[in-house]
Amino acid sequence: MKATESQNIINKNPFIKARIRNNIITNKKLLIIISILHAIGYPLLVCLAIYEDTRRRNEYNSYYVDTDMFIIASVISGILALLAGFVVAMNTFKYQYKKSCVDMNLSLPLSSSQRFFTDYLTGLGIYLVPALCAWLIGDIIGVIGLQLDSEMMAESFKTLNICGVIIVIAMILFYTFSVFCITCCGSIFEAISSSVLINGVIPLFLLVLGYCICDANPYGIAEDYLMIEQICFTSPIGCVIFAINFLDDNLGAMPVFWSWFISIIIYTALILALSFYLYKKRKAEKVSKPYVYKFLYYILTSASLFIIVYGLSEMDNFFGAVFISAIFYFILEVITNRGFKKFYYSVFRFAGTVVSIVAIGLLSNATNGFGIYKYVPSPAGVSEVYLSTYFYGYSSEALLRNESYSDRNIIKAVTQLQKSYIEKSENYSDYDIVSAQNENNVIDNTEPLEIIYYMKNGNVVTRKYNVLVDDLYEIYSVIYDSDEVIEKFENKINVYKKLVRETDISFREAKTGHSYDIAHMTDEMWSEFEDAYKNDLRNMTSDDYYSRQIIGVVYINDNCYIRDNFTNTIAFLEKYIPDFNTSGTDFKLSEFAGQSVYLTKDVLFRDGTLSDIYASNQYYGYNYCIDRNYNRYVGVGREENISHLSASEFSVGSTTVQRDLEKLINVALNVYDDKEVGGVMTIGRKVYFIPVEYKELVNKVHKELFSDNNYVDDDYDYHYHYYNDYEFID
Amino acid sequence: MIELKNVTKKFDDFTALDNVSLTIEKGTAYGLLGSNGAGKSTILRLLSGIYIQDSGEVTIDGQKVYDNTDIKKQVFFINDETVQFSSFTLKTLKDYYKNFYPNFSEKIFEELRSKINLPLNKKIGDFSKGMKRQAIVIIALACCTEYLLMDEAFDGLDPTMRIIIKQMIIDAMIDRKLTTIISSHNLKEINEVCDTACLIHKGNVVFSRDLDSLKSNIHKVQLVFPPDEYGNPTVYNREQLEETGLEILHYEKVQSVCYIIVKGDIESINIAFAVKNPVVMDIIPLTLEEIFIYELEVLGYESNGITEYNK
Repeated sequence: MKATESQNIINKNPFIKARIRNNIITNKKLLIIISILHAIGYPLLVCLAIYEDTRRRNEYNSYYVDTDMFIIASVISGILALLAGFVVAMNTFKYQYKKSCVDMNLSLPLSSSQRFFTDYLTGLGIYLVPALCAWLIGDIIGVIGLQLDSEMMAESFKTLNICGVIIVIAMILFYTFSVFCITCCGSIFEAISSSVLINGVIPLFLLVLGYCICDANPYGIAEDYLMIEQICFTSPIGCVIFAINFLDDNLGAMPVFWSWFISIIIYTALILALSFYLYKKRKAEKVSKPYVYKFLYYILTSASLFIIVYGLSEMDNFFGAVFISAIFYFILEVITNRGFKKFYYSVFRFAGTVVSIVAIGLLSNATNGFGIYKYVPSPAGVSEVYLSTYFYGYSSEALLRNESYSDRNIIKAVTQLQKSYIEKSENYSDYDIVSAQNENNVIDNTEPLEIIYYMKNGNVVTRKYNVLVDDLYEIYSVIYDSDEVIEKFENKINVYKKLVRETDISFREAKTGHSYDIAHMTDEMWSEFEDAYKNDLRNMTSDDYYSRQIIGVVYINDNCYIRDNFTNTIAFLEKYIPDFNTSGTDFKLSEFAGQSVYLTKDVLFRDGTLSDIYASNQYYGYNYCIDRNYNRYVGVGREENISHLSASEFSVGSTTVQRDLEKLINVALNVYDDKEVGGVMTIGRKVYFIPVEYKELVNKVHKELFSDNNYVDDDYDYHYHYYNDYEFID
Repeated sequence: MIELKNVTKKFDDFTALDNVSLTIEKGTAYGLLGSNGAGKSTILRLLSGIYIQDSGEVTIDGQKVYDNTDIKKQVFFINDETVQFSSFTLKTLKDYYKNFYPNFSEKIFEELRSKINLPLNKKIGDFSKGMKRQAIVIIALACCTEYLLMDEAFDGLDPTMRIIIKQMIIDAMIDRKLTTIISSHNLKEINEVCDTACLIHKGNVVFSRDLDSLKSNIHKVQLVFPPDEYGNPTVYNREQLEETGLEILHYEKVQSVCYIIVKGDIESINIAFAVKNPVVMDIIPLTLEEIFIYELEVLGYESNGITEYNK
């Protein structure tokens, strides 16, 4: 609506102006307090950021003031200012619960809609205007004070301002909820308690419902993600969670901003419409009744009981949970009924609610979480699919890890993969699905895969599966067949360019793990590299993805794999790395003097979860080593299969063993390609995978080293520890 | 014209108005009488659009009142509360109401204000109860609405101020045919201001008529009858007197004197009792207060000695 039109409406209806003025007079003190709180909030935070920025630019030589207390004060002020929305609503709609104010307000020549919307909007204005002013002032101070480069400044303020929008919407929702509760209640106590409860109950109910569903172990449903989207859509607390995650750039299963924005506006509008409907239907004489509309009370108490019973039952104490919920429930009943009248009614209702809650739990268990795990989105309804895996096989390429795709074929392939696993889950448990398909059952080649579907209707569907690596390959080959992979590369390279502009990038040769720096990347060099790699990707077929040997990795904040047919990229590397050699150089064992060499035969690969155990550290009969990415641990064998040549013994081993070791080092690959291996060698922190054709030589060397150096305790029960740890690792 | 047609209003299980029908002509000064909880305030709140009736129809000038801003612009309701304007000054309150009532007259406001000398810029919260009343009454009159509804309007006013305020209302009634509906327990004031009165009891209208006819239609009569043939005083009981066809509201006998409250005009009472040949027959008109008490007594609302006191 144009400003002039709205001005005309106000002029034609002077009561609007009068009502606005009256509400401002009523809330004058509150308005001042809110304004002060907001001034201490965001603008102060920006000032503190400027101070820190100035100190950073002065290399921390300027006078130091501890800013922690200011930050705490600022955050507390901000929170209080946000919570003030409830007080504004209470003040503006006072006549809903204060009998002495009813006649004056309701006898005025205002229709219900005029009165409601004027009051609603004025209250909202009183609540929001100081926040918007603080936001604007904060931004202005930031633009003037922060000396960031324009691009970074724009990026920072874009993120901050989107968060600001989210917070403003959270405020509107919070205020609307308060108005809704005040409309449903006729007394001050119930108005306050309902407003407090509704803000806590909605997110907690969804969270606990998520736990309730996940208690049934529905296949592929991730507990931590199940209800997060719904929480973001339905409550002010959810909006704040969304804002924090947005600020953190940790969106994962969070909704897409625009779909969230549209949905939450519609949701808020629905709450407002419902509030207005109830307001219009509300009778003036209901003021001073605890609840004008009892449905709110029933919903809040039932949801609270659900939260308490299920929340506390998580601690395996169902009866204790019921007891605590009973105390909570009956206190509310006595307060709301203003005594013990019809108390037997309360007892029946409590019993009924608890029985219903238990029934929900049983139903969830019986239907495997209400059967939601069976849901596979239709590819046509999916806007984007995000794939995230910790798979460090071929897929650890920067292009494929944690990326969203909108290509129809990719989306279709992912939904088919999901469908096939759901079908299998009907016959096997989660672990059995993969073990049943794993023919030799020796190398566990499964990987966790997180799938997030961003639906066209704004919904987000998240699933987590352990999938066979072969199935992941299928997906990745579809990804490589699409043109989108080029686009993703372009996007990533643009980001990486900024991140590593001042530093070198490197090429790590696959066979030996030898690193070559490509110093001083100029803009021209970036373009050259980008074009070369893009051309190579474009020329690559899905067969190449399987069959072509990886000769190394260009490391730019993440890995870009170079296959032996990447002629353009290899040409670039040859141009800028003087001693570039893809075939690797032969090692001499003497190069490793001072380091222990461990050799493991009959390798058993398992996904490990133990941390802080580096290469060749032993742990209860297992040997773990770090993989080539330095962040995944692989259990590589039982203790009796591990032999080593310690640093001190390096020179005392037989010449034959040394020669054999040297041979193994030279055939070993720095890159594990998920095929069966003849053995694993770890030297220092580096891990080398020996091709299967050298298995006999591995066994021979192991036998010699083991008999020479390893001490075996007779009492050591390998078998026991093996299985014990095996379970532990699971 | 105000009309209530078969209006019923319930508060949970309590019936405040039970099928009430009333007509109040324009320009009337209408007094609402009734015991506590009779439904007087409910009628005022229905007329000012605060309450909505459960059944029946409430109209002013032929239009429904509830949620009707056009009609509400012609109605001003002064309730028995005084705390709701505390955050205002008289000026801000005046400015506030001025926006809602298109006929608001600054001139009238200033005239009235200067009569009672109320401060313009002092917070109403700091006013005494009587001053708060005065403030809202002058604003109400300055709004120049066609209908003024007052619930216990003169509460808290000192006798001088009562006279001034009453005069202001009467002036407005004369000057611009203001229709006033006053609910009060102070029957003397109703008597002074109103020309029509309505007695409500337990949600029902007992009567609704103009005060003159009301007063001329109910009388206190003292009767003494001649002694019988044996020289004993003749005393008729209530039933015997009712045989005359008159409606007797109250009957009391003290020795040979009968005190009765009877409905009917003087002439018909004279004719009716003449048959019994009373030796003394004094007919005294009742005050509104007495009418109120005796009417309610008939309906079982006992005054417990107040009648005796009033005799």
